[in-house]
Amino acid sequence: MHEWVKQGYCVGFVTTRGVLLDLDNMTLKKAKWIAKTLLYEFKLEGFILIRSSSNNYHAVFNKYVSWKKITQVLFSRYECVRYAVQQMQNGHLTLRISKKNGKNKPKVLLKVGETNKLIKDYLELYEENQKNPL
Amino acid sequence: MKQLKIYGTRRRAHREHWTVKGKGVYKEVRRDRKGRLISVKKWNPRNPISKTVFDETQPILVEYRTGKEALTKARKAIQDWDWISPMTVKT
Repeated sequence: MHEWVKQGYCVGFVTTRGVLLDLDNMTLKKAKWIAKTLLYEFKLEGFILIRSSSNNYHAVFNKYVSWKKITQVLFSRYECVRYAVQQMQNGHLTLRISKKNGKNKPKVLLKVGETNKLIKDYLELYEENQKNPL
Repeated sequence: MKQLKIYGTRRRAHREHWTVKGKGVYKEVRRDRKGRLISVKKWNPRNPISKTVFDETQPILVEYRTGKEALTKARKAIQDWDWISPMTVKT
């Protein structure tokens, strides 16, 4: 079930130019495996894995791709389908960068491959939020 | 242009009754998620506070160029709204 913002506000990184993934209710090993297989299958140049809370992870891929390609990537894994449907409704992909419902800010766990495109955009916002949290 | 999204349940402000110098006055107030004061305005019945509540499906989209600019704009946008819990909204 989708978890709403129960109190206050939440700030999210938005994009329509690259692949973001919300990997909920899974181990780090599985999250890493999904990100790696997508990286090699769709040649996405690189990814970062972020822990949003225990057993919940986010992944950001480096390559700028079209919306058509984004839908292909997201619907290629059944673990991502729920997130994909919610985001397609909005018309863009979003990942949280601030605190939510008492949960901590997301934390970057690992970087794989290149980080000069979409990952750079994400980290720019992430690092600024680390310095002066919202 | 890169974009940032601010989502949550929000309304313009709410009215509070304050006692100032022994007199009762109404104020237009905004508070953050911990109940701390964000802004206070003089309440005026001629300019009633809108009761429209925006939920998570109607987010604020902020456009930015640099990370620093993004957070400055986001802070400003956050201060323009009264952020409330969706549980308190009467349907």
